[in-house]
Amino acid sequence: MLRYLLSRSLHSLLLLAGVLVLVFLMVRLVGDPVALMLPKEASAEHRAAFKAGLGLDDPLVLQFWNYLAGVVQGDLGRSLRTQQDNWDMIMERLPATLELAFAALLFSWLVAVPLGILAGMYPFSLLARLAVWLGFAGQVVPSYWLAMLLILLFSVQLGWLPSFGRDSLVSLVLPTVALGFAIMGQLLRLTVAVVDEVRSSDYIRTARGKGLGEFGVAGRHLLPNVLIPLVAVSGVQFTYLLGGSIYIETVFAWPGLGSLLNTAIQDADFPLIQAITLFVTFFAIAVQLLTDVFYSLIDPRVQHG
Amino acid sequence: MTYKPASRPSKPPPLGGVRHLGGLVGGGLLLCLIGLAVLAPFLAPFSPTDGDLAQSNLPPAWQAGGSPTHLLGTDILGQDLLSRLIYGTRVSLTVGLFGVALAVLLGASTGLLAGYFGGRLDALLTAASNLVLSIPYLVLVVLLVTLLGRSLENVILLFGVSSSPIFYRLVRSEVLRIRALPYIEAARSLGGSDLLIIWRHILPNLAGPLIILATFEMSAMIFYEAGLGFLGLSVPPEIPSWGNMLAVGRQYLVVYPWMAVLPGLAIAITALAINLVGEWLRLRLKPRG
Repeated sequence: MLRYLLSRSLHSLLLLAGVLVLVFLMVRLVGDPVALMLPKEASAEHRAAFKAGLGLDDPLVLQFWNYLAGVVQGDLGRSLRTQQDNWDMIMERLPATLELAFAALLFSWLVAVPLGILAGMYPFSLLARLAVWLGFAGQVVPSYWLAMLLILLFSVQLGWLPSFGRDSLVSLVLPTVALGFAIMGQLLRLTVAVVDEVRSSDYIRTARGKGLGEFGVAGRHLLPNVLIPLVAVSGVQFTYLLGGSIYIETVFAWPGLGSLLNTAIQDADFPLIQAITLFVTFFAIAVQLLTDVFYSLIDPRVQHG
Repeated sequence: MTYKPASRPSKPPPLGGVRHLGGLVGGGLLLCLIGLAVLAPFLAPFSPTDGDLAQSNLPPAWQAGGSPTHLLGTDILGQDLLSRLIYGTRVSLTVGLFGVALAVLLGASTGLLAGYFGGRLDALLTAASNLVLSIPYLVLVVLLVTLLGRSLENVILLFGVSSSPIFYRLVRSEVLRIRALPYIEAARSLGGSDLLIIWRHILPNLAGPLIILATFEMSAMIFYEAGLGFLGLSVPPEIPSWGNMLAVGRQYLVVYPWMAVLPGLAIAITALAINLVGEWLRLRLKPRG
């Protein structure tokens, strides 16, 4: 166990270092951030001064050293527009994004697991049909469009739910569904597939033969089988949610990292864009590490795999 | 408790996904969309970029205030939405097709080399692909497109490059599996060269899984392209694309809902067509077991 933990953590550390280098190089070698940040009519001197002010005309190695020293100390630079500390801005927005991402994950589990198990147990039922179509819809309906449809239906037509902001739990409902829908579809397909495979296995027949009811079979045998692969993919899905929150937070004016990133893009605020990219990726790598470790605890086979 | 046989029912359960009918419908839809893209200048009733301000903000023809000359209504500049939707297929399908082609080319060639020859090259390429995959995809493409600038070529380039690790992973693991099979050993012991083994024995076995992944990636790219457009980051705003239409529609969502609903519907229909075909291919091409 300890060996697995160490090697897995080392792997994550290497990834972190790699991401650090990759983002650094991308921002400096792909395109010219100075040209994007300054207006076209800026003079050559102005450009040079601006570049020097950001430290972008230092030798690349020195730039990397400064950048590394900053990141290690939790210094992610300052925003060009607001002159605020990037780290502070990110910390201020992080809770809203985490709240939304976890709500979306929870929503997708709460729909997909029970519906998927029932659909897998009764493959000819109406419920199974519904599950197939919901799973398919998750792949076909883009989240940003779903977000707008939900607003049109529940906020504009029915007036039941707010269409923007983060005031109460009620304002969490629509963004959660819009963000979690695609993942719910994936989980549903996965659950149905697992139950479909396990349903006719020998030990389920034995359990039935012992007189265990359908409910017992589902709870005692199907559910654990379903949870293991679901935990395995949830790390990847969390990464996806962090990305997808850019759309959803923009549509619902949700005050999280996604809408902060969108604002930074509109302002060509490169220090902030770079800081958010780094932070979100670090966070995703950490979550992936945690899910992998948790996964190895509930399914010891992976430690030796 | 009544005895229930655990054997498989004679009729395959409907859970296997959508079968032949779905493939047929999807294929037909996809052909229609390709037809729209190719024949756009002949099919579109108006120019997609010439607006008539006197005709702006018209709802679709079936709604109150709609006009029969503009079947799906017009946008804030008075541009005909049907014509813009028809031209929009060009951007989406081009990005999907060329983006996936580039990703397959890059990912499959490197995956083949890494899986077949192994060693340091494999270690290096695998580390690089893990690195790219650890960054949330949307964050990565947003960063890159902001740096590169908005153009069709850039969008295709960055989708192709940033999606190639997915194909790399698939091909590498498939090659590792196939390479260990007895018939490859037999071919080698009969004096087959690496090139011959790759060409004759490995490549044909990769086609199935590659095609399946490529269809799903294609619909994902169409989603992402429109999503970037929605954020104002895909092709330049003067080009009629579904994403650019969504970006405008979002601003007027409550007043003129059709401006956002229609392009989103077009994206969903395209994704539906591609996924139906992909699902059908998956069932047809799936290796036994």
